[in-house]
Amino acid sequence: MDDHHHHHHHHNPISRKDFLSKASLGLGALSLASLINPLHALGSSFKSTLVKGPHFAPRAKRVIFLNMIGAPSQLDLFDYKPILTKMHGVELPDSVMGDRVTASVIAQATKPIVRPIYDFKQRGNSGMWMSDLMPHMAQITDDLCMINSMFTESVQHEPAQMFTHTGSEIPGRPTMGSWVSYGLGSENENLPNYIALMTKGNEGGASRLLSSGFLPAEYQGVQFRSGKNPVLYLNNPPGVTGEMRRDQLDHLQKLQQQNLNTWDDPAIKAKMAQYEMAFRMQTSVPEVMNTEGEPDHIYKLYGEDSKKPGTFASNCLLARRLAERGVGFIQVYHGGWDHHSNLPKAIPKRCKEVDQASAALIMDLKQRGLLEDTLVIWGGEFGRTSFSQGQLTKDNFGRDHHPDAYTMLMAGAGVKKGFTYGATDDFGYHITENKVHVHDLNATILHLLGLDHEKLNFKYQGRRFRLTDVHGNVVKDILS
Amino acid sequence: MEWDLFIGRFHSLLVHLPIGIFLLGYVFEILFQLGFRKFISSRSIIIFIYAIGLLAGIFASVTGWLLSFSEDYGIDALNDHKLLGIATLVVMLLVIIYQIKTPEAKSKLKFTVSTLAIILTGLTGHFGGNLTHGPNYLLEYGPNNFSTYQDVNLERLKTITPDSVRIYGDILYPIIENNCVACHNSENYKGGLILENYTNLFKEAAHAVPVIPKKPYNSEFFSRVNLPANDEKAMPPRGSGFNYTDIEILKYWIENGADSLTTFNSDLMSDELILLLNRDYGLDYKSKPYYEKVKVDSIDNEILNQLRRNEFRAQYLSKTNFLLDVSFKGDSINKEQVESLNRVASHITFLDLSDSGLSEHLMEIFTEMPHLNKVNFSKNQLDTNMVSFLKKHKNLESINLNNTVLTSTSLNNLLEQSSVKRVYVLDTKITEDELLTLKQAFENTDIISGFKFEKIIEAKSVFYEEKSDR
Repeated sequence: MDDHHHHHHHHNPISRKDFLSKASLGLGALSLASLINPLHALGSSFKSTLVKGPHFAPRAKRVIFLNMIGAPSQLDLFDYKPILTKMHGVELPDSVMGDRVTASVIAQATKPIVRPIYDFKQRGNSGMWMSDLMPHMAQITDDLCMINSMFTESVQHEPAQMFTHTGSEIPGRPTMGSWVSYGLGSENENLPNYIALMTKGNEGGASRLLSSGFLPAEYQGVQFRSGKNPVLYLNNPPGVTGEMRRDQLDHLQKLQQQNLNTWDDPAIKAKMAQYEMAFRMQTSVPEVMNTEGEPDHIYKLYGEDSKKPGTFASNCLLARRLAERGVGFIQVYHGGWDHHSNLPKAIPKRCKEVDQASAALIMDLKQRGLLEDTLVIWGGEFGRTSFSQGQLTKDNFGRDHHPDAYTMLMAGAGVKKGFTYGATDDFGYHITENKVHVHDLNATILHLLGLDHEKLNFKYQGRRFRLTDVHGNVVKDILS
Repeated sequence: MEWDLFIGRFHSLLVHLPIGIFLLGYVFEILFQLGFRKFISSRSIIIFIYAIGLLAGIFASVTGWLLSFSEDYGIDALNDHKLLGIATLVVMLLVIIYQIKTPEAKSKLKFTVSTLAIILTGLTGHFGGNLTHGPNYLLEYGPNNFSTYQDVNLERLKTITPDSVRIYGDILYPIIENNCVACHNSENYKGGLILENYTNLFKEAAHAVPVIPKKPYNSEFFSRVNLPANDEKAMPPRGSGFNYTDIEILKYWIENGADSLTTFNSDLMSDELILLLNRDYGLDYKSKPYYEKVKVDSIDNEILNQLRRNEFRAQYLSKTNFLLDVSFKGDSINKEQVESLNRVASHITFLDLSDSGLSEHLMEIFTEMPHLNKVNFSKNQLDTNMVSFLKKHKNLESINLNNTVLTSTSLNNLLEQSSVKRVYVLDTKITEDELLTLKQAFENTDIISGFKFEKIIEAKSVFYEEKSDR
């Protein structure tokens, strides 16, 4: 197919049509070259050969990943270790440490154990442990599935984030949202299927984490920004009215149609659909991003912050609105969790920013019936150490990166409720039960979406690639 | 008082004497053979010890013979032990005669014959031990590759899907074969009971029928394996026998007809049995969602396309599951559109008609959807006619009635005749008090309405010391 395509282009030296179709709509159209649901955009006659649909009946139709960039301390929030309180200030025994030590740890002479800074309590009917730092999440534990036995490979943020997103520490592979869009197509004809929201001023996420890698660009994640221009270059340039744009598109469609009649190239049809999608998005994006119609009790549920565009709370509310409209993969990023020092003062702030809104999102989805087929994931790229990084003083300390044990939360479609899975040793340092590797988590997410992680692959540079590469086992124990 | 058994039971006590004495004699013979004449100055000492051993062996065998009438032991294993025991004594007698009669020059040959007798002694003892403790006893806690003995072939179970595991053939029979058949086979049927084939399970043995389908507690076989180990009627009399999981499996099998082809069905299994089978046999019987249990054929493409032209989004659940997930994409649904929906009624399992302007009037022309599992009627002016429609559907698991004009009476009416697991009633005509009453009346249904957080009491860090400036 590709050969065919290029072959004909060689016979058309200039190509007014090419020029028009590539340039006339300006940057807006180009940047939106991916925003299309290939299955339905132009009626059922158009089918991309790439879109496959689920391998088996899915439990979840969409995913909302509340991604805490920087790695929150699981020991202060979720994984309760009373020994840390008992042994507060005592040197962490070498027998606990094991082999893996980071350069920053080698540099420090002592490694005093630090207790969690807030009290832990057992919550709900399930008795799930949660810190007082998360008073709202603590109220919804009976809807949560807590995995305390996550582990990953890299000890550095960027590779670890990349690993969570793509199954590889090195950039270049498609991210999970791209794989999902590639595997399932889109439910929504007016919005991209893979959308990212980032907290303004504390973004955490980055465009490299939304890359479709070697998958077609249409599966790339699209960032929606807060403020007047949620999607860059989407609005008409000054002086161009909606009618003019429509008129322009109609003429262009005619030309494209001629082109299509001559070459019968599906890429032309895809492009036509993309322009139409971009046009529809001029209406659908402002519609979804405008939360003014939300009633007061919803703002109250998500917290005061939810009225301020660009906050995590506001993004959680937007995530729900996107989920309602059938967007398949929604990433909500919140940075600032990298507490190497000053943890006692910094982590309560972060928790305040995310606790209520995260819980509100889950419960709002639940009361609307959306949690039945939406999977919510909450967590960072790794955990933090049980000993202090730098000096432990009366009112200050920090925790270093710790990839060997951390916590992720899940809620919704297909996962057990009020369920704590996996366990770590008394110091929260090593996993003692039911290890869950990032590949296992990713395999499980795909499984919930009806995708077999071993079958969802893409041939590139001579070999078939998967999100889980050649690893990963579905964590069947957490499935409901 | 049963003299034979009373004396017979001393067998297990007496039997160790000849073994020990024979071994002592054999050690002396080794020393003699190696030339330690300072300690063993003459062969007559060895002969004397062997003779005492033989005498003890005769006592042991007589008591053993008396014990063999107890019918407590499997006949094949018993015969092996009995014949080996007799053979040992005969060989030992020959050893003694040979040691006396033959000139000293043939001492190597003498030693060889003694060795044979000792090997026989060891084998007899091992078979005897197996009789008492069960064949798995000796190596049970040894390294893995030594203790390969297992009732059920777990490796084989891994290769078959849980749905095709036949309870009798794949699990129960291997257990019966290893624990029961030694004493209950067609040649040796203790208590008149034969367990080596399926049909005999239902034939009356001496006093009772081993298995009565659907009635575990009337089935003698089930009762016997359930008795406490010290009960003299407990079966099997030795060995570990049936563990809790096996007994639960047996019970499930009898309750569900005790057919040789009976398989596990997650709908009928207790949660406990599901967990036990997962733990002990690695079989996963987690109950499946309704839509994974039903099989339907695909629909004519033209009918599907017509539905799509009528502003519906319609998708098969997966490439191999042809149940339909249908949602309405238009603004307001009309009669023609409902009719196109009715044409695929046999395949619809998820139906989303949220905010479709659906009226009570239009509800009347909906046909029944036999596989309807999840439905969303939210944001429509619907009440009684919708409830009548919903009541017809027995496979419904989740109903979304948010933002409808549903009344408490209608919901009560629906829940009385429905086994639905979740129903959403946010923003309906149901008041908070009515909701509370309904929740109490229908505890098996999760009635989900508006969520509010409880008031938060700001917690203080336990880490900081109180600041002095406060």
